[in-house]
Order: sequence, then structure tokens, then C-alpha cells
Amino acid sequence: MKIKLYLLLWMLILFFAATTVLFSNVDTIKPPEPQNLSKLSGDLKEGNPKMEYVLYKLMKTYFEQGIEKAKEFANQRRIDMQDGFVRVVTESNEARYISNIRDTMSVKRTNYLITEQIKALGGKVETAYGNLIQSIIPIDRLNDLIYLPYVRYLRLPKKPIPCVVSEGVEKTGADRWQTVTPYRTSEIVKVCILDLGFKGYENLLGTELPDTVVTRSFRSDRNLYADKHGTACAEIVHDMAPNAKLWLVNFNTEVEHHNAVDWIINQGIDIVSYSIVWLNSGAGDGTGPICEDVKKADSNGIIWVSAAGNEADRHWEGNFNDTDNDNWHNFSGADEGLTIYVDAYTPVEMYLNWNDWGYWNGNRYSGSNQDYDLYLYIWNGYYWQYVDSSMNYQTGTQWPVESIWGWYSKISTWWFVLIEKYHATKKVKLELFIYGASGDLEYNEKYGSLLIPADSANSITVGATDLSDDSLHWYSSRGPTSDGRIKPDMCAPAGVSSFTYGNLAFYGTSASTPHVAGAFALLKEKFPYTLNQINAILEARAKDLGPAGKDNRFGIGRLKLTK
Amino acid sequence: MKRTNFVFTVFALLFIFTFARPSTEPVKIKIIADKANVYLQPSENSLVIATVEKGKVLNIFGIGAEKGEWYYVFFTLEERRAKIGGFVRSSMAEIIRPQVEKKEITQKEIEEKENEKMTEEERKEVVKAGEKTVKEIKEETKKTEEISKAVKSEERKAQIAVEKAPISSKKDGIKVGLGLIGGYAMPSKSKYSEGVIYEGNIYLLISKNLAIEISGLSFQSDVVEDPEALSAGKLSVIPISLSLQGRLPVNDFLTPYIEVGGSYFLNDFSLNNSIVSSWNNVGFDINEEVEKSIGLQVGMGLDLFISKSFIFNIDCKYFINNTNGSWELIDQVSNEKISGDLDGLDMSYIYIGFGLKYLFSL
Repeated sequence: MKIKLYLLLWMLILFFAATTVLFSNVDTIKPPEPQNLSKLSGDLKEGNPKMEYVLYKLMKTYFEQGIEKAKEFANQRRIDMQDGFVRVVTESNEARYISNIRDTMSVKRTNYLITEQIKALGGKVETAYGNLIQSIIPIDRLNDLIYLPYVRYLRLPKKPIPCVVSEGVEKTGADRWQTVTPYRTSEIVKVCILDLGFKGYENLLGTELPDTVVTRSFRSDRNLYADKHGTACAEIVHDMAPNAKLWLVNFNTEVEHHNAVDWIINQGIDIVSYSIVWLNSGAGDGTGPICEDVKKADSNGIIWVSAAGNEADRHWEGNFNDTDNDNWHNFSGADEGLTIYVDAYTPVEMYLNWNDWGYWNGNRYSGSNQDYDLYLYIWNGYYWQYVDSSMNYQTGTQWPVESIWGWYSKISTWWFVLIEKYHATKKVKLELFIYGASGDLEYNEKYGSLLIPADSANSITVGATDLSDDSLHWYSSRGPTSDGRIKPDMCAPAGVSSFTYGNLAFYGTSASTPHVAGAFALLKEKFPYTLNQINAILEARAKDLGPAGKDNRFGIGRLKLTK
Repeated sequence: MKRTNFVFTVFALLFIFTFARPSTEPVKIKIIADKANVYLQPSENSLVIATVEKGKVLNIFGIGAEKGEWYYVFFTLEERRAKIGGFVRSSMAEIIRPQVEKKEITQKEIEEKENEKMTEEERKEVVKAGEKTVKEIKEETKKTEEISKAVKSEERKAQIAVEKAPISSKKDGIKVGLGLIGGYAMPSKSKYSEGVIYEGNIYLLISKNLAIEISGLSFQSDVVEDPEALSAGKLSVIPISLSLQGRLPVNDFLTPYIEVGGSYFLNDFSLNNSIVSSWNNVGFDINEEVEKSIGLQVGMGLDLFISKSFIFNIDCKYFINNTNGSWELIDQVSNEKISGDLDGLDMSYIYIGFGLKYLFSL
């Protein structure tokens, strides 16, 4: 009997002990603000101005800790690395820096020289566009590449992020349009869904998709099925415009993107449905390589419909403010950090840029000489522990961007984001996107949360409204653009049904965008109005929401095809 | 067969029918009864003005109204040395043709030869007969003149009767006619449906060979959508035409004609209601119009005189009607408008119609 009582007592003790251990770190009460954090970078930066900081860290990890640790690092940062080869993008220098030969010839020549060098280093060129060369290079040879005089910058490829019979068809009045007999046109409208992947699309041919579609993968591995996001978008376009012919085109990096857009233009596409956004890929004023693609498509008569992005609650922007002159940005008063609470195993990502991109010449930015860095700390239950930093050089030619990603915690806890002025002569306007927070950002600015290329003057940018009551979805990115233009242009329903996502409603501006692209296609196949005239018609018919007129939340209002 | 070929075939057949028809004109009749009375009027109750023997050949002037039972003949009455017109029952005679007339001339020659063979006694009798007294001759002459007057009077009445009764116009003079025609029209373009036409016309018969016609014609056609031309809808074409007719009378009964002229086409087009309503349903006003136009027409036809005043008419015309049109689509919300021109709309068509005309003198 005594033994049983002892046993029970011990079990109770063990239960409380286990409970205490398990939940001791789950601290949902905000920890104290960090005090007197030292600058990690000190006076000298690590790495090389011609190499993205994260690549330097990967290389450093490899040389100091071996290939396994490097693999672990690459895996954590979602860096494409396989068998010791890293996928990178090399930006070549323009002609004027290396010869007197004309620019176009020089670009070809420098690309040729770089390509030969990559081969010599044991790498392989996958694709190229303009002065960008996408290749895979042995990790131990990355350093060799940057010392070539005609290599301007070595970095990871920029990658897009996806922003799922839709109820939006009836909501927008497209069902009534579908019954209208075409007038003075027999045009088959070509719509391209430019996306990350079209997994499972074959199973939907003849039902959720047209009987036949045109497909093309611009990925280096030619994998059309890398993602199912595009399939869901294509479903909505087909729901809206059942007679439109669809092109399903996917890509993975910005170099592949450029090539894809050139191909789309040659295909005579009428409309591009683009439920993709990019981070740190432009100044937010409609310039940059991705926006340039949109501009090129527009100049070739293509209507480009872009998602605004789902970043309204992940965004902060403001002028650099250092009231105590310690080079740390003060988000508010004496608060030098932006605190977020993140659930266990949820990846934390953050992207910083500031308005010092320089001049965009249609090919590249002249670059920034205002150097700011990004730091990340985590609350370990006792103190703020350093996690990671991003310390790209900004010496006059690099982009004003920093980014940290690939981190997560095994417990739910608080994270702390800091911005340091490393070397700057002027105050800049900072913009920060943070992913992973389970609740609101401590400092959140919903306006100006557009991503690239939603800021393009050449795209129809689409926000997301609720299917039932036309309220703006909380995540829908808002304008204005960094040069003050009102965006998005209009909104469309999200949270709609799709075969691809099954029981899960397709939310996001990704779902809204193909509604608008489909509306263009539907109207285009009904009469010979030009796409620009159709745009005017759609704008006039949109259901005005929010403040009267066009605004930075709803644009001109929710897509509505009936009068 | 293409519609154009069909049209030309119709024209050709009409001509062949008109001009290749053998002449049926009865120029003379020959008495086949033993004796036949010549009446002043086409009635057996009328005055008998002469009696002719079997085999006598008489000039025929026309056919009686009573179902062709009477021939109006005109001949010299030897006994009275006067020309007489009168009616002979058709059953008493048969129509002979020019060859027959030749044969009749031969018969005269035979009679003359027979006269030459007359005996001396017969000649004497003739001389004896000629030795009538002057008094008798004068009396005879007087009687003859009285009869002749009566005959002339009756002849005049008979002539009026003839004109009233059956005969086609035989004298030139300006006459006016009013006509109504119903027919079938076949557009030259297959996008326009065939259909019934109605025509009203005023007809001015200036001479035996020339007439002027002013007509108005209504034709409605269903239009099949053509992206390059009109959309689905109803087309109405009303040509107001002025035509000059060249008339070629074959006889008093049958007059073929050809005509040429110009028309002012009151073209009108309306889109199908289903199209208009479906666009209205999505907030768009849609409209298509065709312009009025000037064109030409050529044609031919037949006038069949069923009486002096009534004509049965077969008419065939080809209207050359080329016009332009326009279309527009207007967004009721944004007022965004799109429009275009429809050039070179060929709305030509041919029709064949049947109708009646009523003639009256001015």
C-alpha cells in the first residue's frame, strides 16, 4: 500500500516536472526591451562588397565547418545547393568599365567571358538574360568568381513568392457576360498564367481547365509541376472566361522570369495573370528588373494583371530615426527593436530596403552608398539572444537591401528585429517586411505594403475583398507606391473555391488577380474594344468601396462587370 | 445553281417565251356553212346586213367578246358597192392563214377563168341586166345609199361595241395605269434571306412603245450575321423607282417590255432584339445602321391585256443597291464608345412579281 502511495506521489511529481519543463519557455508575455545591444559588425564588415552577405556566410561556413554544416546552412536558408554546387546569379559589368566597345556588344562579351570563367571553375551556366547569368558553381569557387574584373556582383537568384468554380464569377457578374453573343469579333483571347508551377493541371483539362492548354517551363530543371499555385489561378481564369486559350508558364528565378516574358511576348499573348510578388526587387516606384518586364509586356500590347500582395500586416516603413545617436534605429521613442511573437516551427523572414536605389537606367540601378544592416534576436526565456544579421555592403553600386530568413524556433516565443546604420550620410526611408509573426507586428504600417511588381504603372494591380461583404481582406497590400501613386487599381473576390485546393478556400490577392485577368479576357472575346478601353470600362463599372473614388485600399473598387 | 445564273435564266426564258412564240393572228376567215349571215351586232337578233356564200373569204377585223363566238369581218358588198363591217358567227367560218389566203387568190383566178368561159348567152344576160333603166339604177342607188347610211350607223355602233368588249388597245395615246404586284425577291448575297415583296406603281403609257413607271416596293429580309457586314437582324429595303419602259407589242393581247431606271433606296436595318437585350443586360447600347442609297434597276416583263382596262402583269427587276453602314457600341456606365464603318454593303436583289394594272385614259 505504502509502495503504491509513493508510486502515485512520484508520478504526480514527474507530471508537474514535465509540465513545467514543457511550458516553461512558452512565454506569451512580452519580454523586456533589450538594452545596450552591441554592434556586431563593428567598424569593419565581413565579406566582400561584390558578394551578397548570405553567400559569404555560406562560403565561410563551408570553409570553417565543412560541407555538412554548409548544407545545413543552405537548407535553412532555402539556398539551392546540391552536391556542393550553389545556384547563383552573376551580374556583369557594363562596357564602359572594361572597354570602349559598344554596350550591347560588351554585355555579350562580358557574359561570354564570365561564362567561360564559370566553366573553368567547374560550374555550369543554366540561363542568362541581359547582364545576368544564372549558374551553378562549386561552393569552394564562389570566391574565385567575384575577383574577375567584369563581375559586378554575385548573389543568390531572386525568387518570387506566391501570393487558390470560383464564387467570384457570379459575384462579379461574369456569369451574365458569358451568355452574351460576341459582337464583331471572333477573337480567341490568349491568357498566360505566369506562375511557379502547375501541378495536377492535366487532371483538370476539359473540366476545370480548357480541353487543351499551352505549357512551357523556364525553370532550369524544366519542372512544370513545381507548385500547384498556378493551377488554381488558371482555374479561376477559365471560370471567368471559358473560351479563352490558356498558356501555363512557370519559372523559378528572376533570370528565368525575364526569358519567360520575352517568350510570352513572342507568343502574342493578350493578358498575363500574375499572382506572384517579389521582395527587395525594386524601388517600389515602378522601376527595377521585374517591373521592366511588365513595362516591356505592356509596350507590346499585353495587359498585365498583378497581385497587390498579402503583406499589409507584415509591413512597416518609416524614416530612419536615431534619437540617441547610437546608430540603432528607434522604431518609437526609445524602442530600438520591432518585436513579434512567432509560433513554434514557424519560419521567420524579414526583408529590409531603403530609398537609396539610385538611378534606374532600364537595366540596373546605379546603386546605394547608404549602408544599413539588419539584425535578428530571439527571447530565450532569460535574455535576448543574437540569431542572425544581414550586412550587405552598400558602397555605391549595390542594391539597398538586406534580408534574413530560414530561422525558426522549436518553441513559440518572441523575436526582435533591429536596424543599424553602418555607414550613411543621409537619413533614408526604411521599409521592412516581416514574415512568420502569429499576431500583429509591434509596429505595423499597412499603407505602402505593395510588393513588386504591384507598384508598376504598367500593371493592373489587384487587391482582395471578401466574397460575402466586399470588405477588404486584412492581408491585402495597400498603396501608395513609393513615388506616391495610388495602388491597387481595383479589388476582386478572394476566399473562393477551387478544385486544386479542395476544401481550403483560395485566399489572397493571388485568387483575386485571375478574376480580373479573366474579366479582361471575357470582355475582350465579346467585342472589339481595345484592352485599354476595357480597362476604362472595368474602372467605370467597379463597385466603389471605401472613400469615394480611387484609394489606396480598394483602388477604384471591387470588380463588377454589370452596370 | 447560283442565284445570278438563275436570274439570267429567268430573263432568258421570258424573252424566249415572248419572242419565239408563233403568231396566231387570224387575218382572214373562210365561210364553211352553206350560207352565213353577217349581222350588224354580235347577236342573232341584230340586223342582217348581208348573206355570204360558202367558200367566201372575208377579212377579219377582230374577235368578238362573247367567248370568241363572233368574228368581226369587213368586206366589200358587191351588190351595193359598199364596204361593210359586220359580225359572223365563228361556227360559220374557219380562220385561214396567209397561205390559205394565197390559195383563195388562186381560187379567184379560177373564178375569173371560169368567167372567161362564160357562154354567149350568159354574157347577153349580163348585158341585159345592165340594160336596166337609169330610173331603176337611181332607185337602186338611192336604196343602196339608205342602206349604206344605216350600215354606217350600225357599223359605228358595232365599232364602239367592239372597243367596249374585248379588244386590246389598238390606238396610240397617253394612258395612265395603277398597278399592284406581289412577288418573290432573291438578294444577291446569301447573308440576306429571300422573301416576299409588294409593289405599287403608277404607269404612264406614252405611246404604243414607250411607258414610264414610278413604283415603290417593299422588301424585308432576315440577315445572317457577317462579321464583315451586318449583324443578325432585319433589313428593310424600299426602292422608290423611276423606270422607262420600252414596249414591244406582239399583238393587242400581249406586250413584252424591257425597262431601265434609277431608284432611291430607303434602306433600314434593325438588330435582332435578342442581341440588343443581351447587351442591354450587361449595360451596353448597341446599334447598327445602313445608309439610304441611290441605285439602278433593269428589268423586263409581260403585259397581258385581259381587257381594255385590265392588264395581268409579269414583272422581273434587278435592283443594284450598294450602300454603306455603321455600327456602335456604347458603355452606359463609362460612355466608352466603339464604332466602325460597314463599307460596300451589297443589298442588290432580283425579284419576280405578278400583278394587275388598271388603265384609264387621261
